Amino acid sequence: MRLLYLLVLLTVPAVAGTLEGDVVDAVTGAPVAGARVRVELPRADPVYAKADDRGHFQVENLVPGVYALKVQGLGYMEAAQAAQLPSASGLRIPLTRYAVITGKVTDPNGIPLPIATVEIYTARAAQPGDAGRYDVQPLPGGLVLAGGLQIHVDDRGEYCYASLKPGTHYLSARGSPFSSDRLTYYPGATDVAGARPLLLEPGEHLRADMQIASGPGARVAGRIVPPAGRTAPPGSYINVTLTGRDGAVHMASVPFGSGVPRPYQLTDVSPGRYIVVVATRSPGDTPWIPRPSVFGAMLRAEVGESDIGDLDVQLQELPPIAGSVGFAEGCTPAPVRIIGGLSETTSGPDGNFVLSGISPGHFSVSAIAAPGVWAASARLGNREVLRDGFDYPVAAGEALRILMDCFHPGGHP
Amino acid sequence: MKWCVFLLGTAALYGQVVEGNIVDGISGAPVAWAYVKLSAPAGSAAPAARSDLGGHFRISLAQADTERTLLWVSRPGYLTVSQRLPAPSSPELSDLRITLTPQAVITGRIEDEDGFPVAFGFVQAFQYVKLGDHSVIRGTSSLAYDGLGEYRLSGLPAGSYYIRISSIGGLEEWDLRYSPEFYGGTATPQGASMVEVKAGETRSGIDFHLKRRPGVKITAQVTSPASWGKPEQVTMSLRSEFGFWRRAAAEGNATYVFPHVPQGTYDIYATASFSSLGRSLSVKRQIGVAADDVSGLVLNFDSELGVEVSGRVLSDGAPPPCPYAIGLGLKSDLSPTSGAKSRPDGTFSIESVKPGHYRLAIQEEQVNESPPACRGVTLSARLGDTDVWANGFDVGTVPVGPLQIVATAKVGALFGSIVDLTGKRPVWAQLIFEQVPGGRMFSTIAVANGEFSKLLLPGDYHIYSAINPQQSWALSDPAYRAQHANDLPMVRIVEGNNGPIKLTLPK
Repeated sequence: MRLLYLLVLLTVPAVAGTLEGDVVDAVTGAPVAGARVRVELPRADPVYAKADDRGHFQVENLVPGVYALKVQGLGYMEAAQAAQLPSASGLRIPLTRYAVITGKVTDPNGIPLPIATVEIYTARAAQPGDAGRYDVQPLPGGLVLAGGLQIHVDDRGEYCYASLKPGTHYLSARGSPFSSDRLTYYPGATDVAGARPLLLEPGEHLRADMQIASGPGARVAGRIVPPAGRTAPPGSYINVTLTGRDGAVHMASVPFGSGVPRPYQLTDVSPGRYIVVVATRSPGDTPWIPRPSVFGAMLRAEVGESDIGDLDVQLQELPPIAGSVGFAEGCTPAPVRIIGGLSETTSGPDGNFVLSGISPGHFSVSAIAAPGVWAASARLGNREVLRDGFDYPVAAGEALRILMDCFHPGGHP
Repeated sequence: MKWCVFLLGTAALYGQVVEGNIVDGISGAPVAWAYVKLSAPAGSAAPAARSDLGGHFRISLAQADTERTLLWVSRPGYLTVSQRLPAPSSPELSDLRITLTPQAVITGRIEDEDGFPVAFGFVQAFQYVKLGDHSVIRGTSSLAYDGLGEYRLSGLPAGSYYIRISSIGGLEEWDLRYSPEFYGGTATPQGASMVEVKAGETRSGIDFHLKRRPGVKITAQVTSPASWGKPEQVTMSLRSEFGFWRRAAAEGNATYVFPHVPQGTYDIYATASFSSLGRSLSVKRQIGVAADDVSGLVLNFDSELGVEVSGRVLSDGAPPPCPYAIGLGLKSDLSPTSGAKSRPDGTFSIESVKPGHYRLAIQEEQVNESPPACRGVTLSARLGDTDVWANGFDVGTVPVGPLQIVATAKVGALFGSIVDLTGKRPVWAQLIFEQVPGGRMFSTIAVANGEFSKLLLPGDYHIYSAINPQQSWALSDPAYRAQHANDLPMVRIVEGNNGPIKLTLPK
């Protein structure tokens, strides 16, 4: 029966059809004049059409089948729609207008800030793991701001974003990471709790000028305590690096001394959440034969308005991470390239691997295999780290277990 | 005598102020609200002030724990100025006159044939600047992110610029027939229209009306020896010198297709991972595209496996007692890309070196980390009859060797420390030692506590210092070195240990 159907398809000439429809404003129903349509064709270049003044378009000489359409209109969000020939006629494709947000960013004196960055966020529900992330800002009501859209102002401090999806947004602005400028939420709060939501309707044009707050930062100091009884190569020193979500990096170097706690100090650190990375460095490092740090530590710190004088850091050994790769049922085991903590290795025939020479920091885990095979899970000790990554150094003996999944022949993932 | 100057300088710095006036370079009018900042060690706040309505600024130098050798002045609408400060004892320090040059600006709009704005386009203004024996691009860039396709190139010094769209954002996804172009509608600088701007001028209306261009289909295959197994994660891309970039679609059977490529010259890159080799390889091939489709193109990973570069190090005629680290760096790259340590018999082998022109970077064991018996300095490196120490050598498809590296253990180890005029140890300092006569140069970096050590050949040396990367670049200029030859005292090195010496950074 299937063979007969195929024969019919091959012997009956396909009748060319026309795909036509109207592009309209999703809110008002008015035609979108000049909209353009792109029709995807299997194994051929796409074809294009342009809507007339009434928003009407048509694409001729198409054989029967299912087509994917994309539609654009000036000032509108792109829409995608599927259409079937011969039954598709009189398509109605609604487009939603973008919202537009513009403004100017100035310093506390009202001077335009030419190197400011504006960030537009859409709030999302808080998730497990957000609490430890320095790039997630908690809002009241179980919401958080994370991963906003970043826009750089121009040399006059002005910004414009005309491709904004309508809805509720939050806004922040920051100046140079190496100044006393503070991350400021619209309309002028330095605490995220004071950020005001902005509701933008389709087609709405909102002007949101922002004056960045400023103030001296705090002093962050403490001691770096080496592991008892351990030494590092002569001339070794210790780098202390604070990295904030606004890109601010504060760094200090102190000499390493066996058994001797070393004081360090960083000044003018703006309020915010920071990742603190401490690592020993050797003066004998060569770029082409790098030597991994001997000792290190990583922690998170929240800096407020007050000085911190006791952020002591206990240096640790930097252990390798041993692990294993497993495959879901139905997948063919194969070597997997594992990247984590700037270190890379490939799993052996038994699925085992060792990541070594890792420097302290927060890292993601990547497991790369053949096309159609992907990492479904990566557990370090008893926590899942595939999505949010992990902090290194880890506890000695903590193993990384990666589970790979694959597409199965039937198309079932 | 130098110490007297140091003490005087320090005394003069305490309680002194840096002050002056800022004026517009064209009108001579005072510039208000300019931001003036002095350099400071990393981790500490940089002293800063703003000019008042009369263009006057004043920064108090109450703190003694910072180094203040550079001054920056910035103001929206002007080019940023950076300059060295006069000596702490100089009266000029309280009567500075800073001239700010108004910036030039070029603005415009990018749209396609349908009149749609090109959002997220990336626009650049640039000039070709002669630097030594080759030209480099100098310029500024702007992202037309606003959804209106508008761009604004600011902070430009007066001059003539090429303007190009190096990325057309999402337009390429919509219609592959669009591609990056220069202002004037060309794909390369040849025939492009340059835009001239004067200081303080804003040139508006430099609009782009992108056109769909004809293109051809390019089909390419990748191959590799069967013994390597199937390549994994194969990607293929194509790019031009002038911003065109595209990724190929896989068609199966190791075949990849670029559907619509305009005329021009391109590099095609293929990368793949080979489990059997435990590494990834990439291969590049240049092609010229004319009016016809291109097919039958083959990129062979075998050619990129690289070859072995081997040789031997002899120190005073015998294998060195401790390993030497031998690095190879491409001429275009600052850092060595591969390397190996010498074995006990002095031989070494660097594997998988890809074709290219390489320079040697040889590092003996660190002074502080090894016993004096391990010390050594490289004297020469030869490949056959050719001296490759100064100019490097080519690597092709056949193994290279033997490299004969000659070193000596008859060296002097210099120990010392460096401080600035306030007696503070700098956060970072580079020292260059230039042998006199001979001109051979050695470099070292002072670590966090200001201390340094360096193995040198016996002889007399000029010493030069840099406390930031800009100065570091300047040290490669013989004219700069001649000008600063007496900033620091000369030093005589003898075999064995030398010093410790104490250096004071020049003003």
